[in-house]
Amino acid sequence: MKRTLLILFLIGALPLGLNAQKIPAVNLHDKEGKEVATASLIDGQQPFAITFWASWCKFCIEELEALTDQAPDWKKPLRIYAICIDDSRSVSCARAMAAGSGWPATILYDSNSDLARALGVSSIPHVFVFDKSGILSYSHVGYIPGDEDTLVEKLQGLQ
Amino acid sequence: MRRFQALLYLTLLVSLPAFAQIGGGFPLHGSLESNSLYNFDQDSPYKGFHSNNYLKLDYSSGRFSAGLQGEWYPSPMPGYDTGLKGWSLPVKYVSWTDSNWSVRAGDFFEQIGSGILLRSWEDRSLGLRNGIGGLLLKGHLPVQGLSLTLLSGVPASTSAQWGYSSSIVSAADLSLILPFGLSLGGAVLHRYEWAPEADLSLLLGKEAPRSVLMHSFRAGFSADSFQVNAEYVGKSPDFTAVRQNGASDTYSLERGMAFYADISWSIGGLSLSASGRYLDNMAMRAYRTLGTIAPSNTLNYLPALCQQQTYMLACLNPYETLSEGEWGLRGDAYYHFARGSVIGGRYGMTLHVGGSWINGLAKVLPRRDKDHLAYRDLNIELSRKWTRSLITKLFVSIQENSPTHGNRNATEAQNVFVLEGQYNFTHKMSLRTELQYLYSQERERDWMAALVEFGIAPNWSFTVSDMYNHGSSQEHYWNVSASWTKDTFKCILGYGRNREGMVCSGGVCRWQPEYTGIFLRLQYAL
Repeated sequence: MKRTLLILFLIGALPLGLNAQKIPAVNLHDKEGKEVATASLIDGQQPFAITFWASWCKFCIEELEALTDQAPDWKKPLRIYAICIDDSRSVSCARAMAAGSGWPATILYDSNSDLARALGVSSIPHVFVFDKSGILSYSHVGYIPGDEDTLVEKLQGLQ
Repeated sequence: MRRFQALLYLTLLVSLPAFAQIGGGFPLHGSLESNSLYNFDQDSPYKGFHSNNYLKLDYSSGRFSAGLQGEWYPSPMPGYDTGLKGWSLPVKYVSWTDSNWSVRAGDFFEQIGSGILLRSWEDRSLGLRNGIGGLLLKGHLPVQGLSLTLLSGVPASTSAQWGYSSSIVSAADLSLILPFGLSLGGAVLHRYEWAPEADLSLLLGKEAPRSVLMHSFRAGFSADSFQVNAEYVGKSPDFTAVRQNGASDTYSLERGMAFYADISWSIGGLSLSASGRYLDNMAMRAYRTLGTIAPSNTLNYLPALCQQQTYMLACLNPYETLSEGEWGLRGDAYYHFARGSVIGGRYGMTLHVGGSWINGLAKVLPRRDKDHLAYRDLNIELSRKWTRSLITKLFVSIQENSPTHGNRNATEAQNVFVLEGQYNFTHKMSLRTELQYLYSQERERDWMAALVEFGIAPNWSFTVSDMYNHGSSQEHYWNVSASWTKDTFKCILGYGRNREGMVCSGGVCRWQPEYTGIFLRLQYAL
């Protein structure tokens, strides 16, 4: 029975397109511990990107540093949210790491990976670009130096 | 049957690129992950083919959503819980959300406070998924800043035929955000086992209580650059087994208690954080057993308080939390030397110094009459960007670990040194190297390791690495792999030899046997 169900939804998934994904409704926290609903990230005027990171993920930090290097060249500021998935083991360390980093992103915390799970993130870094209505436009898993160019192009293309 | 499974597996792999090409507008999304290994080591009990596969699908329409997660382990990867073998649908749910309330029926993951009271989550690298099947209600009450979480359900179990353990967990949590950066919270949790193992009562010499109650209080304060959080958790008498390191374990019914606090502060380029934790009989299982404790048989989260290491040699001997009783302190300091400063140079420099000290409690160390060192470390990392193309990192980690958590005098010290460099040839082409050395006079003594990674953005990455023990065993553990990424589709194909050891994430560890073989990892977020 279980096998039949699994096969059914494997096959059922094949023809389905997934381009209309909206950012899932999840509550994150800001650095002061206040709740931030993902719906509040949609302002109807500007696209935005979210990138998942953790203090122990060296490629995530590398990507955020690369964006920091590029930021002075942006014609207008881009809306980037760096979602930290550090759990209680290292979240205070992550707060300290982010505090003086100068990353061109707003830091939010997803300490039990609720948003990461809802977006199907199984490894980080993982970036998602949403248009001004909160509809997913682009996403990319992993980081190789140079990927930050594509992220910025996609965001600027939606402006 | 094997032919059918192989055919289905091939179909899954072949259809992956098709997923990436299809467009449309149906409000369905999810992810697919497949990890497979063919172990060529004919002497290994884990020889041959192993595979862990996950498919998650979520449907949402307005305020309604529903989802499923299917898992298929034709033969679980080496070191994973053998109870996972076969097919399962461990997550299925329906939920409804509006601006103030959400209700979810089915399987869910949830955390209360820092997780010492309750944390259900998923970590595929450990084969851990301790979801709860039942009802979850979350909402904001009509008082400014007050929110409520209520849940009740049956914790998942990989060893039970029906996929759930023989216990019911219920919890309530109230959280209040006050003006001036203050916050308060409190929670209670109750676990009832309707079919506890009879041997528990035999060993105790009296009836093991079916109910265990936990409660917690927490408070926080945050200003612009300052934050402090504290949490207290208590537990009613629960069955506990104290390790005797060779002799028979002792069993008793004891209360549990935990206290956790962290503080962080930043000014200019300097950021500081510190945390402390006291644990006394705080392991909270979904069901109590005298048999092997599966990774998923946990209801709370007690991570090791020390830094989570990422370099190959620095994480060879990870520390595992002594949930029966320990206390620890951890501190981290970051200093960002500004761009354009004398020391920071044109592109800036970052210095991180961190350390931890963890002691086992005397009451759980039969050979001690006072608390004793279980683990301590000091980590220093210096990262500097020299030009637009060149970045270097220097990392030093000094670790001392007591294999008996302080019960005996012998400790194992190791000093790890890492030099990492990255050079970007062009905007798209980069080379990253790591040179590592571990100096130790214990266990396998000295190790050295090297890694070379060549990246061509946005699709390709090639990695070669080797860990070599030249202190005693003279063994090499090498890996070659290639990775191809297209948006959310990632494929990693490699061949290598894996060392036997513990794989840890947070406070949970699993043993991984040695193997030599081809591995394939596929992942796709839909």
